[in-house]
Amino acid sequence: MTITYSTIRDRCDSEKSYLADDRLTKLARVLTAVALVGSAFHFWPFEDNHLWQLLCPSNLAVLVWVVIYITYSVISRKGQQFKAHLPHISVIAFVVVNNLSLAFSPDPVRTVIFVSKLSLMFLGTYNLLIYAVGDWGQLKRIYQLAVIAVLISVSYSLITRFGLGWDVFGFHRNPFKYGTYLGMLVPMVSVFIFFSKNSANKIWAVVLVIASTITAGTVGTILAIFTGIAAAVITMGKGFVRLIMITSLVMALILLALLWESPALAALRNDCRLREQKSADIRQRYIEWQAELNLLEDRPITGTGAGCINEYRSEYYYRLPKLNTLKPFDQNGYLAIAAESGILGLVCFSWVILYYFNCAWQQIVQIKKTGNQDKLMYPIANMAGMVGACTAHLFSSVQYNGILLGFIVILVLIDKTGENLSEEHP
Amino acid sequence: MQKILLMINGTQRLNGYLCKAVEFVLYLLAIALACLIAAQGKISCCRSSLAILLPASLILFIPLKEELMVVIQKVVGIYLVCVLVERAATHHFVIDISRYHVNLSFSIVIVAFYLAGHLAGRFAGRREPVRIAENKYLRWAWRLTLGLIVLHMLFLGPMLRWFYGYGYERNTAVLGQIVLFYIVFMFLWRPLSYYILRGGAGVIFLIYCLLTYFKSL
Repeated sequence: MTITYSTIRDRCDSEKSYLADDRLTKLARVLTAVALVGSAFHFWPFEDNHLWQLLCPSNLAVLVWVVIYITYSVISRKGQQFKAHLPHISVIAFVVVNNLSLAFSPDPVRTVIFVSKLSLMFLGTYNLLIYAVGDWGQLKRIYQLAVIAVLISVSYSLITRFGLGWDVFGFHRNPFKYGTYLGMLVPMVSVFIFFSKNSANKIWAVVLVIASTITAGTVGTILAIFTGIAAAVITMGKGFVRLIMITSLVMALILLALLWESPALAALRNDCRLREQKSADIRQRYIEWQAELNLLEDRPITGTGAGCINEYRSEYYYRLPKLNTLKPFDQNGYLAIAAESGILGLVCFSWVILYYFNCAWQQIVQIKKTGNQDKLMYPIANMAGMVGACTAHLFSSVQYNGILLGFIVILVLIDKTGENLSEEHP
Repeated sequence: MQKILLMINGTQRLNGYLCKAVEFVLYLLAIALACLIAAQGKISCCRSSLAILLPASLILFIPLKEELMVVIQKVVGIYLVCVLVERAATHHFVIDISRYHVNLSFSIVIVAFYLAGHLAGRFAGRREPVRIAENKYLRWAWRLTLGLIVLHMLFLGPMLRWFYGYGYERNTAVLGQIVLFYIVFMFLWRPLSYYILRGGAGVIFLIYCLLTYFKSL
């Protein structure tokens, strides 16, 4: 075989390209770790700074990735690869509808900021995570990073609320944001640890479930954790792990009952009430839900424009009282999406849920059929995370800046689990 | 015998093309009618709206064949049509049937056009240029949306009645709106796979946007 100059050059080019790809993958893994662990710190320490809210470590990691990835794709002319790192059509459709709702927004600047964050997080984070995750080992590392993030959040909340007596919920501070974050991630990571072969890890999972339950400040958090783990209990079939999961839920309930009168649970006690504390009125939260339904009747497609629900909110209470007692981020995510980006926005969000939920379910069925029990923990943990996220979305929104990352992690894990399974059993 | 069979086959194919043409004409007429009715309203097309709606209309012109891009175009198309139907739904007309005055929304007329187009399309066959595997998910997504709204109503209705005795009056109207847009979606989602329909709709939207913008100046 004769080796010409052009052959050598081609080989050098392909080697260079391989090295560059490898470096990019390593960078993606580092940025994923920063984004995921950084999400536990939310906007700490500059909570009130708008620029920091936009460029906090987790958002900045995604932004850096997007810039580097686009630059690399343009320079190396690998734009075709971009398609392989995109989320499912449903996610793109949801982003498109949110962008279109900008046309009817009363405050275009606010909507542009909201939609930019949403698009960047959905497309950028998805791309970053897809690039960082490859085989089962790397998939496992994402769960481990999620465990670290959850442990940071829960342990900080335990120390501040039970030790120091502060009324803050982790680094998120707000009970609804903290609840949505935990409601999505705790079922997923705890189910993942429950499947560990190490007994000590199983005990840690029980402790995590109990600790996150007693640090919760909203009914949505408790429901999300319980429904998420219950989904895992139902789907996994009989076994010792199932028994431990049920035991952890029972223990969490018992401890919650014992600590019910504790001052640290005042926020949770208050959130469980149907009435307002000082009057005979129903809670403002439920009046808000009805107002969003009323808004849907008037603006079913155009909505208020993404991120602009506050501009129209008060017009739709009609005869219902406006009590001004609604806490920040106490929103019903489903109704908020419908009110902001119209029925089509909610339809696209439902499409996202249905598609990924079905994927997780099909993966469980496939593993049960093939008898590959070692891999069962991945789809069941993802299913638990998805059910938790859907429940948490009832009492707050997974769309908020800094929270959305957790939801996207679940979607990517479902996507990658399916990909790895299909590689094993084509 | 073979000649007769060929003739029958040719006639059937011609009928199919004619039905398809009638279907598209009816759909485009419905969109144009919705534009006309929507343009009668006071809602003008401001500069910020134009900055979104114009590129959205132009996106529909691009002859794309890839599934992902076609779905995005279809989502944009459905969104724009639904916006027009929403605006047309606020206009009403009255029909006198003996002693009764029946007040009807113009959205019914538009839906009637879609229904006629849909029926014409059924005669032409149901082949799509780009087969989209996601259609079944989308249909279930509409059902899930309806289910979510109904569940919220079932929770809120009795609670508000118990506390105040009022507050849930608009609920049936919301359900009516969801059903209306589901019907529009069902009629339009498949035909929008054809570039000719997407492009035609794009032209109509473009004219509508520019007309309403200049009207508002």
